Amino acid sequence: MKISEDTLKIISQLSKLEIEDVMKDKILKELESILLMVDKMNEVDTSKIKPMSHPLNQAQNLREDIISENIERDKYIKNAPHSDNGYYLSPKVIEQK
Amino acid sequence: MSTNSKSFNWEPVIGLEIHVQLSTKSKIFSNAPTEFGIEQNLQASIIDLGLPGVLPVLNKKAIEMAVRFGCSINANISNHAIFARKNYFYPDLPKGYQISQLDDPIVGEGSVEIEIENEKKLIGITRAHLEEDAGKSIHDKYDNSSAIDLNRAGTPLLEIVSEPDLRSAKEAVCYLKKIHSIVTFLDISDGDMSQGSMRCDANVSIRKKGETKLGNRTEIKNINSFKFVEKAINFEISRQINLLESDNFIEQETRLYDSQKDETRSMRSKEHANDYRYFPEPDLIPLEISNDFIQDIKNSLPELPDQKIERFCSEYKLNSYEAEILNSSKEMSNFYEKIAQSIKNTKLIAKWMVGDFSAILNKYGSSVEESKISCDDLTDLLQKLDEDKISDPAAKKIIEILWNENITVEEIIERENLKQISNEDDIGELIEKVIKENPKQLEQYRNGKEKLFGFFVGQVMKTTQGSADPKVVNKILKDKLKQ
Repeated sequence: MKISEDTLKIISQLSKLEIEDVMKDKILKELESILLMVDKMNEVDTSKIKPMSHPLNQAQNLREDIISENIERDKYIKNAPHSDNGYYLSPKVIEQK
Repeated sequence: MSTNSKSFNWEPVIGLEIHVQLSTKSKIFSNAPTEFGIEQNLQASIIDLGLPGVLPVLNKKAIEMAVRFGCSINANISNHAIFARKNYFYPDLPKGYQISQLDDPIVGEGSVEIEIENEKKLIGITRAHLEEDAGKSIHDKYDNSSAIDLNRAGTPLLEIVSEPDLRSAKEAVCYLKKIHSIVTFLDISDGDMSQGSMRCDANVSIRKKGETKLGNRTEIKNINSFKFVEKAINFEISRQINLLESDNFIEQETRLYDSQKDETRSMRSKEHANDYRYFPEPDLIPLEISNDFIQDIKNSLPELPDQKIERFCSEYKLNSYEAEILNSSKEMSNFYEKIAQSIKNTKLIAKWMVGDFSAILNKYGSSVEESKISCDDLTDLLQKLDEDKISDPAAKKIIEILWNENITVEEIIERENLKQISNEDDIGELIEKVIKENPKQLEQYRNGKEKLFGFFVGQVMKTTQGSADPKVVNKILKDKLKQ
């Protein structure tokens, strides 16, 4: 299956990865080989098999609704490149308002 | 479309997606608190922040609440629910994805009944699924940065998706109110729209009457009051009609409602439509919900609004309009039933609660919970009315004063001189005096000018400054004028 340059552009935008021009061919080939593998897997007849979302045949353990988290904001916030007065700061996100 | 005839009968087709914050103590995937109005980031735990290496663990209470909702709308509850990652990039979503559900949501198809203009209508609910809320971005605090508060991140949300069964903005509001009353009666959310506990997106399209195919739809995002839902949808309907009638087409897009300008605006900011790249959440294995668990919840469901409305009609002899308004919120119906314990005249309580009490709540934009008039005060007031100790106009006046001052009903009656004179002897004396002072009118009345009856009533009311009981005045006056 062929991947167009436009698709590659969208994928890189979605994944927030910048792909240099010199890398494009290599990455296109790699992505195509992944899709080839998927095609290969699709050859297997799975029509009689129940779909499975997770490899473990187990059920979720649930938590009681209690508050027990110790929140150390000032410690966590040191991980952020920018912060002020208990807020995390990000580059301005301008929504069309 | 080649037809040129304008102004068809257009039919709006509307579906709502309602986000309800569940009132768990802790978040859906972490043990951090979910309170509203806490100082920024003081309830954002390492899980809510999406720090590397943390794992979400599901809150049992959130599951229980979702199942409660499902049972109350007669929906299928999934025995095997799956969580999914919805990927998008925004600063108030620290993980870069929201844990939500796509296939196998916890609540499947169900329905609720709404009543509009005395007609009942069943509204289909496609599904309801659990997900986590995002944080908040504040854009006007800093010149060059957005401030991020992640306190809300991880608050459990139930997203309730309706079928496109609604045909007008009024129906949409009616349906939204119904969902609001169900979730508050179930105690699974405080339903406070002003604090964002309940928010709604509206999908709106129009088509010619009789057409079965759906037109292109737009989605109006994040509407946060009943009033705005109605206004936003109405604006959108007429915008779409204008476009189609001038031979334009409707672009499928997301729009934002601006309540100040009362209009919707396109939010389109990207070339590409959102591509959420959903996939099963690897950090959460499937959720098994046993039939026993579901049955237990079914058995413990409280009385729901519809059942309560029916009971109010039969037990308190109310009409369905009164019963409906009194059950528009849990607090309202509790208020009513509390008063009904001490006053037998249940119609009178209903009349005043649906009328003047609701009116003053509206006037001050207040909910029953925030009411400045306590249940005891209202009981006092209605008791006095029921015993004819005050008149209707006096009661209206007292309600307004009760709201604005910290004072008892008794004190207001005293201060404002609102005591109703209903003693027949007292009123008889007053009437005799009025008759004596107006011999000319008496003569005319007795000669057949019966219209003058009103004149005498007016005179009696005037001398008592409106505090005479009009029922008693009417009765005695009739006798006295004949003598």
